[in-house]
Amino acid sequence: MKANECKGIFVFTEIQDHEKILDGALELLSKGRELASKLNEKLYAVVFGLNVEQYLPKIESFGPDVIIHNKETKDPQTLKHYNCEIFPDMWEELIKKYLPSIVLFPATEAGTDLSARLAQRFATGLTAHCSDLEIDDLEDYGTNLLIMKRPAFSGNLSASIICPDKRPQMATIQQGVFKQQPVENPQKPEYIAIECKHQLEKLRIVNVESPTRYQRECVPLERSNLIVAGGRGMGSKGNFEKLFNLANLIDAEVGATRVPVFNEWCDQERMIGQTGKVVKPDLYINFGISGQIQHTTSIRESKRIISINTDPKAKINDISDYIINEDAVSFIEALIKRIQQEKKQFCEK
Amino acid sequence: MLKIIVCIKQVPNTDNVQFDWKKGALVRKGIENITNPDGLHAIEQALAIKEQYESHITAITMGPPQAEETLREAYALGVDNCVLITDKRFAGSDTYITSKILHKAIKHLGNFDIVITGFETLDGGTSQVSYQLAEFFDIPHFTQVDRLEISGTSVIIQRLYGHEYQKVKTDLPMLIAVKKELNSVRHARLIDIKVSFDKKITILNMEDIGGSAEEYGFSASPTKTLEGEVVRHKRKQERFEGTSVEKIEKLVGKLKKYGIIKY
Ligand SMILES: Cc1cc2nc3c(=O)[nH]c(=O)nc-3n(C[C@H](O)[C@H](O)[C@H](O)COP(=O)(O)OP(=O)(O)OC[C@H]3O[C@@H](n4cnc5c(N)ncnc54)[C@H](O)[C@@H]3O)c2cc1C
Ligand SMILES: Nc1ncnc2c1ncn2[C@@H]1O[C@H](COP(=O)(O)O)[C@@H](O)[C@H]1O
Repeated sequence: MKANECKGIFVFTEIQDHEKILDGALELLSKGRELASKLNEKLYAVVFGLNVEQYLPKIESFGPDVIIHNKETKDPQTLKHYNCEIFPDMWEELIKKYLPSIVLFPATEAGTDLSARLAQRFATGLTAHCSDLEIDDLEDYGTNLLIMKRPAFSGNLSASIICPDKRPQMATIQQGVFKQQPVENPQKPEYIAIECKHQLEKLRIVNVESPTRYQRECVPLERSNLIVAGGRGMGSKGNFEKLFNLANLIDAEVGATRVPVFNEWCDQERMIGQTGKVVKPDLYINFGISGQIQHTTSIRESKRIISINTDPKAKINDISDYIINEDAVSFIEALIKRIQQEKKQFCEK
Repeated sequence: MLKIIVCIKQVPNTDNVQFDWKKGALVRKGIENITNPDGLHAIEQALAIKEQYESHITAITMGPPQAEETLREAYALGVDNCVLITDKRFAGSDTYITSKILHKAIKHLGNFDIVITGFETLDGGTSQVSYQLAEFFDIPHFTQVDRLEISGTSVIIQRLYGHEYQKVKTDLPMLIAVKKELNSVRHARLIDIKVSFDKKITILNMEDIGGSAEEYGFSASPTKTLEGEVVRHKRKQERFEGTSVEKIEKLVGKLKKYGIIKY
C-alpha cells in the first residue's frame, strides 16, 4: 500500500480471556487518540469477540472516531478466542478496505501472531516491543512518519525505527508502556459491524478434543508497589532464592532480568524489560543488575530505585536514587537477618 | 520419510556486548558468537521427531560466512545436512526480508514436511520470522507444542494456545516455532565435534535462490533504523558509605522511612 493513499490509525482492541478488554489495548487506544489528533486523522478501534456489544461503551470512553466490531456469529466459539486462521483474514480485508496508515498491537501472544502475519501479507515493516511512539517529519524520508523507539544494542541507546515507504506502519507495544487516558465527553463514534465468514470446522487446524483451561502462573509485577529484583550478579539459583526470602519478609514481589530467566533460576513471568514486563513500583530494590537499556526502559517509572552491585561504575547507578557498592549475596543475607531480628524484637516486646 | 528443515541463527552473545562511545558502534571484537538458544531447542525438537519417525533433517541459516560455525554445531548435534545462505546482497535484511530469503531458499531445497524454527532470537528478539515464514508458505503455524503424533500426512498436536491446552489436528506441511519453556526437550550431547568439521555445507547465494539485488538486504527492507540517541536518567545517585553493617542500617532506615518495614 502506498503512503499517500493511507490515513487513520487502527488499534487491535484485544479481548483478554473473553471477559475484559486488555489493559494494553486501552493504553494503545489512548496513545492512538493522541497520535490521530496530531495527524488530524481517524482513530479506529477494531474489536472482535463473543458478545462484543458488552465492550463497546468502555471503548467509546477512549474516544475512537470509529469502532469496527463483528456481528454475532452462529457458533459462539468462532470469535471467542483469538484464532490465527480467522483474525488475520478479517483484518486483511479491513486494512484493504479502509487503508489505515498506522496499525498498533499489544505485544501479547495474539498481537505478535496477528501483527507478524499482516506485515507479511502487506509486505510492510513491523517494529516489535516499542518503548515509545511519536509522529514526526524527517527530511530524507517524508512527513508525518511514525517514529517507533526501541532499545538499541546495549548501553543506554535508544533507536528510532521508521517504515518510510510501505503502509501500514505497524508496531507492537508492551503492556504498561503508555497510560490509560479515557477522554472527557467522548463523541459518539461511527459503528461498523462486519460479518465473520469463517467456520471453525472448515479451518485447517481443528480441535479433536475440547480444550482444557490452562492456568498460567500469574505474577502481578505490573501492579506491585514493592519489587526486589535480581540479575546475573546473584550467581546461582540457590542465591536467587534469597530474593524470595526477602520478598516474603517485606511483602514484595520478585522480579528478574533476562539472565536468571534464561538460567532457569526463576520463571519467565518474572522477567522485567523490553521483552518482559513494565513495572512502576514505589520502590525497586535490585541486586546484581548491570542496567542495560532493555531492562531499564521498563523500570524507569519506579518512584525510587536502590541498587546493590559490586561494580561502582555499573550503569544501573545512573538510574538509582541510592547506590550500595556491596556483594549482592552477602548483603541480602545480612539484610534478611537484620529484618528478621527486628521483627523478633518487636514481637517479644 | 519426513523431510524436516530447521532454521537456526548465529547471534552475538548480547549479554556481554559493549558499546564504543567514541566510535559509536558495537565492539565486535572479543564478542563470542553463539547459536541462538531457541535454535538449539529447534534442533532438539527435530531430533526428537527423528527418533520416532524416519526423518531427514536439514539445518539452514542465513548470515555472514562465519555463520558456518553454527552449522558445525548442528552437525555435531546430529542433523543430516546443512545449508548456509550467504550473500553480501542479503546484508541488513529486516525480518520481512529475512523471511522472504528463508522462504526462497527452502523452496530451492525442494519439498518438505515440517519447518522448525526458534520462537525468538537473542539479538533481534522480534519473534516475527516464524509467523512470516508460515505466511509465505501458507502453512499452519504452531508454538508451544508439547506433543505430536504423525500418521501419513496427518498430525495431531497437543499445544498451549492462549489460556487453553488444546489437542488439534492438521495436515502436513506445517511449521513449528520452538521456545524453551514448554518443550521439555533434552539437550543433545555434542556427539563428535571433530566429525562435524569434515561434513559438507551447501552454500546458497542470491543466484541460487533467484531474484535481484533490489529485492534483498538493507535497501529492500521496509523498516529503517535511524541513529541511536542516548537515554539519560536523572536520579539522586546517593552512595551509601561506610562498612557493610552501616550500609545495612542505612538501608533499613530508608525502608522504615518509606513504610516498607512497619510494625
Ligand atoms: C532484543 C533484546 C531484548 C532484551 N530484553 C530484555 C528484557 O526484557 N529484560 C532484561 O532484563 N534484559 C533483556 N535483554 C538483555 C539485556 O540486554 C541484558 O543483557 C540483561 O538485562 C543483563 O542482565 P543482568 O544485569 O542480570 O546481567 P549483566 O549485564 O551480566 O550484569 C550483572 C551485574 O551484576 C553485577 N555483579 C556481579 N557479581 C555481583 C555480586 N556478587 N554482587 C553484586 N553485583 C554483582 C555486575 O557488576 C553486573 O553489573 C534484552 C536484550 C536484547 C538484545
Ligand atoms: N538469519 C536467520 N537464519 C535462519 N533462521 C533465522 C534467521 N533469523 C531468524 N531465524 C529464525 O526465526 C526465529 C525467530 O527469529 P526472530 O523473528 O528474529 O526473533 C529464529 O529463532 C530462527 O529460527
